Order: sequence, then structure tokens, then C-alpha cells
Amino acid sequence: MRHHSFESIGILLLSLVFIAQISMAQEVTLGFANAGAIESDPATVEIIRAFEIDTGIKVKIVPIPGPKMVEIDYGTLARKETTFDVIEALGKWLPDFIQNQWIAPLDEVFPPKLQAHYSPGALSLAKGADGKIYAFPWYTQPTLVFYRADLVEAAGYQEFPSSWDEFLALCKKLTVDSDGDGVTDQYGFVYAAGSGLGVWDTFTRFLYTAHGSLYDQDGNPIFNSEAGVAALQFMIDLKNTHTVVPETVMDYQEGEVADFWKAGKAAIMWNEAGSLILQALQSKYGPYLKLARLPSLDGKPAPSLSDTIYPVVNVHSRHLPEAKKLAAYLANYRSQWTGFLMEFNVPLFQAVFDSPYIKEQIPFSEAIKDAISRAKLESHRGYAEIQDIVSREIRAALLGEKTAQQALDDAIKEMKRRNL
Amino acid sequence: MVKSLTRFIDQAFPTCMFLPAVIIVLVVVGFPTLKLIHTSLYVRELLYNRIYFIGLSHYVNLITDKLFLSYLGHTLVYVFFSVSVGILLGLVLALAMHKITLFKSLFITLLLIPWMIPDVAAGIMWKWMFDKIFGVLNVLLMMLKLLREPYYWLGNMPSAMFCVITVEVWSSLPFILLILYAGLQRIPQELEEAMMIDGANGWQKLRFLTLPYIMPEVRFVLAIRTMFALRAFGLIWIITGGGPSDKTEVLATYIYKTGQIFLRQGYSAAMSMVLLGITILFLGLYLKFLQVETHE
Repeated sequence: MRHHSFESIGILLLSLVFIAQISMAQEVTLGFANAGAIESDPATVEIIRAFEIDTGIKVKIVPIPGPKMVEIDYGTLARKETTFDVIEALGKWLPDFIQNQWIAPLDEVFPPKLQAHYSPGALSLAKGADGKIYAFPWYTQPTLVFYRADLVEAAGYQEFPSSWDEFLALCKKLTVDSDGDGVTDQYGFVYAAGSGLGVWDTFTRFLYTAHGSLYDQDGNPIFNSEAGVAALQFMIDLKNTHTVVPETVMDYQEGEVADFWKAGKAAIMWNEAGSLILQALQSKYGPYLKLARLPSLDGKPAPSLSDTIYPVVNVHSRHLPEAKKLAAYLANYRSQWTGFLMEFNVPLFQAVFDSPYIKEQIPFSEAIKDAISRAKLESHRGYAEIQDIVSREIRAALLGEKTAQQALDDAIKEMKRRNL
Repeated sequence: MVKSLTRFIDQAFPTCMFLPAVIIVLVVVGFPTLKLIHTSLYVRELLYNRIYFIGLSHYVNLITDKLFLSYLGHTLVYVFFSVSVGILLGLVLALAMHKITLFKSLFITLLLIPWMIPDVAAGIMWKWMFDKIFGVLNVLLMMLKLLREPYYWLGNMPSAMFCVITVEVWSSLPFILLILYAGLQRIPQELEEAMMIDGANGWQKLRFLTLPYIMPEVRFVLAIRTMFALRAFGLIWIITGGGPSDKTEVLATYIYKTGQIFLRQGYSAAMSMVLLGITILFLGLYLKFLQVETHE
């Protein structure tokens, strides 16, 4: 009798587990690849929580560390894995994703009437050759000058310099050995020259402010032009000739650049406007923070590198309709409004900037809006490999192993050798 | 018939006992290796949806790939210095431990600490220690008046290579120390005493007694450390990322980038096979030239 009772209990328990498994399998849970730690993205967490409440669809947020984003996001899509249904993708990746048909078109959730509310420049990168739209412009990170207004004004500048020559003169004044021990205590300027994304973005910023471009209309690399050489030479001179930039920039990505500035070791940095503005404002030198347009070679307004983020839907997702709903939700007006307020995620839904509450609450909103109006983002198939090749050559030039022209020519030669 | 069945079972039994282990090794080691060889014969570029048979062309291209040859050179330099310095230092420490009687357990425990620290944590820790502005190494050297101003260890060559080799030696020292120390325990005390009585000095004792006795352990450590150094990845990736420029880039980091980031898996597989070949070559050389009689 006892033996039969145990059997019955065992069968009952197994049945309960089996039923639970089936019901769990029927409940949709989307996998969302978040760029970076969740702790740094409170707005994203709130938006996704709202999505879960509004739609009843669960979302599992998976943080992807910055240095691993290319490997994990590209790898997931290339291997047709279904771990992530929606991925937070950089605009630079879209040519690869679209041409390989790794991401699903979103026309049914992103009709032309809705598209009209978004920044046209950001939209163009999200469209495929077939005319379909493959990604929502979510938020952008325009480049701005972050500077210590107290130091710049003390150096005699009421407005931030607009040309490279004036900028260099200011940096020299702000590079100081305050205790006379032969070691520079404060540098005028700091930029990222770390391997990969760090030095790539820095070079692109200098290139754009020299009125140059990475590629021509046919996608051929043209960064070894006169503008490109001038840009790289200026980077080299700032570090090696004028020493207004610390040599340790060779190790820095943008996070380390921000840390260097926040520690008071540099007066000026060029960096992405976004959550960094909040961090800088909350730092010891936050009260003195001001933003400005990047100085250009000739003093005239130049394009501003603006990395744009798009939620994209994995074409192999097992829950395509739900995944598309999530992508649309992340990039709608309310989400972009929330992201801007909570995290300084600069929106691409243009009406957000017209919100009186936003204008009142967001410092520097005019400077940010100005930067977006001149936003520029170029990309090319094989972006990750191109970035690796170019960053290696640029770093060789920064170390004095090659001239600027040699470095850029060698980068293009290597790209051709690999059929990129 | 019963007798022949019993004989068959007796003969087959040992084979059956190690068959599961053989199957596991074939599955876990053999299958991936065969798959790697297979992949290396194909162009497999996931980014461009290009997958087709190319035979040995990848291997031919490697001969003219300047980057591959350069990184092979970096790898050999890295292996040579990290293994030789590691073994020499390990031997010195093992000999010292062999002599010490006071607080021996404490010293052994302290010397094992690098082994307890994961590569990633160790890499981050050392990276900060080598930092020009915030690093403790420059502070110490300036305090000792060995440096007049902070030095950019990770931003210059050959100091960057020196730094990653130092960390590799530091992390491998416990393993080398333990193996060599165990070998030293095998030396009969009577022989040591006999040599002392005969008036042998330290160097003679080391050359004619210690080294011959611990040669099996030295050979073992040499083989294992060479294998690990040839495929070194984690510490270099964390500390320098292959920089400055690409001066500390080694084959393992290049293979990883090519296969996982650039998604050129065929070419990456071919490089992996070459690295495997080099590893087997080194092991073969050690086995051939370092054969010694074992002393009981």
C-alpha cells in the first residue's frame, strides 16, 4: 500500500512538472541584447518594464559588454542563433546586417507616416537596397566638446575656439605642470586612441572636422585624402609635438577618456553627448562643465560624428511579431522622451526636442540639437575588420612608426588585399 | 567453450575498461580537430555568405601573409622568454624552498597565490599596476630613485612585450615551482651528503646531481609551459589588447579576431592548424633531445 502511495505521489509530481514546462513553453519571452551593463541603462529597463505591462510579453535583458558587442551580436546573427530576438545595434553594423539578411524588415510596424517623425539621416542608414526599412532609429550620440569653463575662461577665452589653430593655442595654455616637478599635472586635451573603436572614432571626428569623409558615394575608402592626412597629422602633433595630450591615450577608450577628464587631469575632451553628460555633471568638476561644437580645420561648421543606435529584429527569431512590437516600442515617442530625461539618450524622434518640459529639464539641449543637425555617420560592409586594420595603422602613426600618409595608404592597401 | 569464453573476457576486459575514456577523448578532442581541418580547407566567411572548398590555398596564403608571419615572430619571442625565464626562476625558487626549513608552508602558500587568481583579474590588476599615471610600479620605482619620471610601460616597445612576459612568468611560476620542487624531493639524501663529503660545491652539485635527477620534471614543465605559452591569449588580450599598435599581437589573438570578429572562419582554422603543428613540433623536439634515463 505504502509502495503504491509513493508511486502515485511520484507520478503526480512528474505530471505537475510536465504541465509547468508546457505552460512555460507557451509563454513568450523575448531575448534582448542590451549594449552594456543594465545598471547604466535605467531608462531601457523602465521602457521594457512598461512594454511587459502593456503587452503581456516578457523580455529577458542580456547585458553585452562593450568590447564583446561585435563578436556576440555579429556571431549570434551569423550563426542563425535564436538567443536574442532583438538586438541593440550600432548604425555602423547595419550595412552588414541588412546585406546578409540577418535582420527582419519592419515595414508593417514602421509605416512611412511614422518614419516621417524621425531624423532623415538616421533613417537612410536603416533602409536596404530593396527600399524596405530594417531598423528603428532609437537614440544617437553626437560628438561635442566637453570643457572646463572655469579653466578656459581663465585662459582668456569667453567662447570656445572654432578653428584648429585656436584650439591648439588654448590646449597649450591649459597644459600645466603646476608643482614644477617636470610631470604634467593637467593636460589641455585628451582623446581616445585605444585599439579598435577608441582610435577609430577619434580619427573619424578629426576627419569630419577637416571636412573629409571615410568613403565616397560608391563605398570606396577615401580617408587617405588631403583631409584625412591633415586630420591624422593633427592628432599626431597634439600628442607627440605639442604634448597637450597624454601619451597614455594609446590605452584609452572613451570610458577612460571620461574618467581622465572627471579626475581633473584634462581640461577638454571630445566625447559622445549622452549619458556621459549626466556623469560629467555629477563629477567634481560638473559645475564648470560646458559643451561646444567641435573646432574645425578652417573654423567653419563641420559635420559631427553621431553614432546612432537601432533596435533590430533577428530574422531567425522564433517570435517575430512580438519582437517587432518590442523594437517599435523601444523607439516610439514615449520611450525616446523617457530615455532622454532619464539617461540623456539623445532622441531621433524629432518632436521630443519640441517638448517644453524637455527644453526646461535638459541642460545643453540647444548644443545637442545643433550637433544632431550636422550629424554624420558612414559605414561599410566588413566594418569590424576595417576598423581593426585602420586603427592599427593609425596607432602606428601615433607611435611615430609611419607618417600619416603612409599609415592611411597602408590601411587602404590592406583593405584591398582582403577584398573589403 | 567456457574456457575460451573466459579467455576472451579476460583479454577484452581491459579494453572495455578504457573504451569509455577513449570514446570521450575522440569526441571531445578528435572530432573538433577533424572539424577544424575540414574548415581550414574551405573559405568560410559568414559576413559575406561565402562558403566553398578551397583546398590548401589558405595555407599557401599564410606563407605570404606579412601579418601572420609578424605575429608568429611575436609568439616565438613570447614563448622563448616566458618559458625560459619561468623555468629558471622556478628552479631557483624550488631550490630555495628545498633548503628552507622555517615557515616553509607559509612560503609555499604565498608563492601559490598567482595560481589562485583568474587570468582576467590578474590581467586587469597588472594593467593598472603598469599604468603610467595611476600605476603603483612607477610610484615604487620613482621612490627608489630608479626612475626620474613615470614611464609608459604599455605604450612602448619592447617594454610592452616585457610586461606581458612578466605577467605570464608570474602566473606560471606556481605550477613550475610545484613540479620542480616535487622532483627535488626524489633526490636521495645520501647522495647529497656523499657529494658534500666529497667536497662538491653548489654548482657541481646542481650540475651532476640535481639537474640529472629532475630532468624528467624539467622536460615535463618545458613541454607544458611551451604548449600554454604558444596559445597564450587571456593575459595579452586584457593587458595590451595586442598593442601598442600590434606589437604584442600573437597568433592566438589574431586567430580569435579573424574567426570570431571578422568571421573568416576558414582562414582562422588554417592558422589554428599551423599553430597546432608548431606545438607538436616543439613537443617532438623536446622528447627527442631531452631524453634522459630516469633515476630510481
